[in-house]
Amino acid sequence: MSAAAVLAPEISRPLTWAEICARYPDEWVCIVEMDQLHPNGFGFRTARVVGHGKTRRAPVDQAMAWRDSYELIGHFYTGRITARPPRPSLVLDEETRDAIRTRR
Amino acid sequence: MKRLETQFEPDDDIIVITARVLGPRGSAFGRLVLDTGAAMTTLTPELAVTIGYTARDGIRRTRVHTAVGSEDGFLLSVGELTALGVVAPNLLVHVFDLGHDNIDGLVGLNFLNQLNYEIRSVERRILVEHVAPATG
Repeated sequence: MSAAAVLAPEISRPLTWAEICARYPDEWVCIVEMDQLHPNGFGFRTARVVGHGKTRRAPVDQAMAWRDSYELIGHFYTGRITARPPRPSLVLDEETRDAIRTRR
Repeated sequence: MKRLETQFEPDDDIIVITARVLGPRGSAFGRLVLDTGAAMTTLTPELAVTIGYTARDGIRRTRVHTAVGSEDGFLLSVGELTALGVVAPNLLVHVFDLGHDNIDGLVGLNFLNQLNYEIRSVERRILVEHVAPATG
């Protein structure tokens, strides 16, 4: 795939989440124009896809072409979230610890 | 006091919620794991980039050990993080690659400590009372 093809901004027609998952299985997508069902939840009637790919970064790079047109972009994985995230262990030096404490 | 309710997704034994973060280039929705065992709220670098932040905006560089190795990260004050119906302005978050491929981060205690919350696992919902920070 050429660099021009990667950079060419494309936007899908409005799709349901089920249609997005079927079209881009087990991929990351960036979506806009989310017609949300609930303000606190994930559900939406339709949205338009402005980026997709196998890595978290790929759809972000494509979606940035649309950043100035859309204030809100969704970044979601279309597959099932199953594994536990690793519990990170932050290495704290004194300055980092102070930075966290002063913000509490 | 206003009570808020959020349904969460039935993804096995983790609780996944939707969060909205605001930065200099706009806002983004992502799915984060609600983690009462994490001190800090964490975002992946990709979500940070989507809203216009890079490591140059970090207030501290960090080093993180996970089961899969060691990662460089940074602490960042995001314009706003909204989750469970509650808006947290200027929230300090930790940005690094979690090494886990299908989530955008973790909602940790530095966000949750501003709330009273009740996780009703069987009902797949979270009830929240937002407690405004004391002033003066």
